Amino acid sequence: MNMTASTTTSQPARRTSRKKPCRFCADPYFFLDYKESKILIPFITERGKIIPRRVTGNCAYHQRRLQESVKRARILALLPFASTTQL
Amino acid sequence: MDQKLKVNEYETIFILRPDLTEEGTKKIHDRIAEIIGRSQGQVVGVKDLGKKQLAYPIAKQTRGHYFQVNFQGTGKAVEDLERHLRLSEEAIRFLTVHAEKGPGEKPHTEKSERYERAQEVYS
Repeated sequence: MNMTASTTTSQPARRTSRKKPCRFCADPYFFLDYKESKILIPFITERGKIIPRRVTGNCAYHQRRLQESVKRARILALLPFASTTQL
Repeated sequence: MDQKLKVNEYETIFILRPDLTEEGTKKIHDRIAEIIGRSQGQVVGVKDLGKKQLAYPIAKQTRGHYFQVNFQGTGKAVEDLERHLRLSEEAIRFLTVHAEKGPGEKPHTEKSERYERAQEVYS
């Protein structure tokens, strides 16, 4: 038991993944538009929540823009506020 | 005219009931153009975005007919237009925002460091 404890501490499961670059920065013509729910759908969960940028890799600037777009799309019933069904 | 009023370009999206006749929608469009015109505004363009499934029901409707109106005007025009849409039975939802430049006109990140780094990885 003592052995296993020491091995786990000596070799921590460290994930060395490179940070994903922002997809909106990569393509300047990939325009965030609240009217296009197709663009926004990959950035929300099945339940309709906005996915955090540590998962998607968006930069802070584009995450802010995305947030605004999703909120506008929700008002226009293009995206759900909360959903139990598929999109 | 009050000097404080600034002219901006606005974009209004409104959703009409899906069961309206073509004549009915035309009447609403004429009325909107009239309201904007009366408030010293100018309609830049009207776009039919089509009938779409709503993500959640609004006014007991599951589908809606989406329209987009771009216009230049002061806040007064927005106020008048929104009042009209709020009172009208046919429009079930609307949203007015500052009009933004579309893709291609303003690739805002082209020269940034972030863009170059992203290009390296995605190319």
